[in-house]
Amino acid sequence: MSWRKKMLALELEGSDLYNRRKTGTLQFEENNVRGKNTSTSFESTDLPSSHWQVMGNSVLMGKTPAKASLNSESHSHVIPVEKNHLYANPHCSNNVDGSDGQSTPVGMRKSRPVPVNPLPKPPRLHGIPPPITIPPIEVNYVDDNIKRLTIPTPNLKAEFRKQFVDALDLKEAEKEKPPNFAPPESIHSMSLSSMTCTRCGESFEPQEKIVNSNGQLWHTQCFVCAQCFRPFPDDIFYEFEGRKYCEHDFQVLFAPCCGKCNEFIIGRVIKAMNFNWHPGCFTCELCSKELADLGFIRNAGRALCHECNARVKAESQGKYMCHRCHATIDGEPLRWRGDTFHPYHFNCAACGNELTADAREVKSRPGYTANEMNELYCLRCHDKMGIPICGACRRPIEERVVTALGKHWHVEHFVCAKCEKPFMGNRHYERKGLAYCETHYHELFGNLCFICNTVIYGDVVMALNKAWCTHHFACAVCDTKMTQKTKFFEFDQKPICKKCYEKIPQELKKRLKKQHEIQARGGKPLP
Amino acid sequence: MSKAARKTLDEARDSGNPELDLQDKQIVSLEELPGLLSLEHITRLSLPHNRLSVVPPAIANLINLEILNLFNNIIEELPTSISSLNKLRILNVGMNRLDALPRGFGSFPVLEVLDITYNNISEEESLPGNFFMLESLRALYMGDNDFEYLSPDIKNLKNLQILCLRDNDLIALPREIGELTRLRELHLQGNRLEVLPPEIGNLDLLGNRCCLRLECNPWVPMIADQLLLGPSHVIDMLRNESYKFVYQRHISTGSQPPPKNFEAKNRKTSRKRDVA
Repeated sequence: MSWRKKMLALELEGSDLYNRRKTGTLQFEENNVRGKNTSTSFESTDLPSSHWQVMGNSVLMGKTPAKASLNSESHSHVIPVEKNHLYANPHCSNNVDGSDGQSTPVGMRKSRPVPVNPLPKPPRLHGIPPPITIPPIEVNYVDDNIKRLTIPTPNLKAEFRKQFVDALDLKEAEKEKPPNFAPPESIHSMSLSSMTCTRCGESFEPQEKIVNSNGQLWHTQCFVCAQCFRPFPDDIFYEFEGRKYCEHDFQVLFAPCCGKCNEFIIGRVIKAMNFNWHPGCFTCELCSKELADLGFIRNAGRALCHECNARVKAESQGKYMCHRCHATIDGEPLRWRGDTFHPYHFNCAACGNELTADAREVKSRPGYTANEMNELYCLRCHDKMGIPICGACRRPIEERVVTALGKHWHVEHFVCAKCEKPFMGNRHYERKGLAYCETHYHELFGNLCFICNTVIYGDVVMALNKAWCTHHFACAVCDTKMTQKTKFFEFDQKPICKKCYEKIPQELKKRLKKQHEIQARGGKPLP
Repeated sequence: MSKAARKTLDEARDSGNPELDLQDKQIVSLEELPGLLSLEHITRLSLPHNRLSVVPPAIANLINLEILNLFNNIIEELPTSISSLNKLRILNVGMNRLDALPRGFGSFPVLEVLDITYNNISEEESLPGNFFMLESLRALYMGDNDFEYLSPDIKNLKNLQILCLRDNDLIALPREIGELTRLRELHLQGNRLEVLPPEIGNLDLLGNRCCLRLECNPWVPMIADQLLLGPSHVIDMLRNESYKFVYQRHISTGSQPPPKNFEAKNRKTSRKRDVA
């Protein structure tokens, strides 16, 4: 009963696989591979990676469902493949009996070994068995078995064309399945006269050596490659549609060539982009990553990995790609450390809220270590952090800060109000809330010398609401030069030296003095 | 005749110094200094505190003169040729005995500072007709003179920054004074002014580099009260409509102006020639 259940499960699994294959989106077939390898062939475009992974896993883990009953004979039992020996096997003539029911490859029916000379263990167990000398024993041969063995089912035939067949590592196979040399009972009923060569149909001479391969019997001269008619080197042959080929011819005829290196592919074959590839040769055209297990996406005739494809796609749309999730960014990207991201991958370093595109990257903050640099803050927290805001552009200042006129400025935004050139650390002149370069400050508001009436660029003597070039500062009466330290008297808001003041008529001095006193009293006459 | 003066003159001639200082040398006449008026290269001639009574017309030979200082002499008349000094920027004839300025005085092309302080100049006939064509003038010192009125043509002196009318006999100021937009020093102390034209309120005389002197005038109470608080309050008041009404009423009534202070005026040394 458990056997029935198993069959049912396998059939379901198989049909599921078959259906998927039929859709054409994904094909994968198991190949017989030397040793343990599976050969995965796939053609995939834009398949969701989840599917892909599942399929890939099943392949890699060797849990491949066996091909469900593909034989024309309804009763045939399909057995789970153990070593993925699915289709063509390099056969060893002393194939085993069905005592190990689970290890028989699909497509090969259980066959009873042909009666052979009861020789002891053959010296070499891989490749074909050594030719056997058939003793004159009557053998009852069951034709049925032979037929079934050699005629692949139509379904199998179709699959053969799609896939590549590799050789079985016979050594491995032998180790796992020690051949049973005990002559089966049926052999005793076989007679030499009823045995014929599978190739030429002639009977065998009594003392002739007979090759027994999987129950089929051959003349030694008939057991040759179907292509080159030469014996199989190293006794290894490949069977395809009932014909046996030497390794060379089999590869020439059936083994795929790699689309990149043009070499035959032995082992795992990657079928993609209408070519076959070595797994190592099928790589992303942009980043050269191996695509066999990752899956790929066809983009403008190129096979690309998911990352490269997403990036290319985003670039072509003028959009940015998120460096975190590798999807395109539809809205405004968040720029951080030179890359673009979806803002929602980040949270404000201060308030923890999910960020939007107007979040600010803070490169360095006083009092914080380098590890804490380059943090992201939402605009609100950023503005609250006391980062100075430029008085000109209203944006935060992250580099050098100029503080002037009661505001902060970007160095390059602190400019002359007249010529708009940045001061860049040069001296500036402030007037009525505006800053000016030296030239334009003097030009506009500068001190004009009372004597020469030109802009004073050097040192200035300021007195009595007037300005003088140092060399023009002199007594207004006698033109004698004075310095800033010279004591002078005021006369009509002009400076006059002591000597001249003393020469002024006494009555005038009195009047001037009186006027000053009255001025100090707000025009009120002296008592 | 002064040896010291000659020595200075010789030095100036030899050294080629364009500035000639001859102050307080008891010089009575420029004829004492032969060759002075042929020193064409000099740009400044300072002769303050001397006894010059006449400025010879040949002063015009000093064609490069930029500054001429004749302060505190006894000059009674200036030659008409003086206005042909095409480079003269500063002319100081303060503290002399001038009764008038010569005809054509207003034709200086680049005169910037004119000081006629402490003379006997009055508005009527004292100023030549073209006086207010001195557009380049930026400072006009006319303190201690005898002006009773100021010509409305004062508005032509567009570059005037300093106007000193201290100790004159001014009875009224023209409204046009309000058009001197660059004015920042206005000395009106010691006159006979009762009212100010409201247009003075348009001027910027309250800045930190400005000067407004108003004391020693017989101001109407409205101004006098504000002056007690400071000149800025006077300016503010001039801008009021109520003051404009007061001003209009005052000038239309044509009341008797306050009397001259002859006593004080006659003490001026510039009048001493009468005595002499």
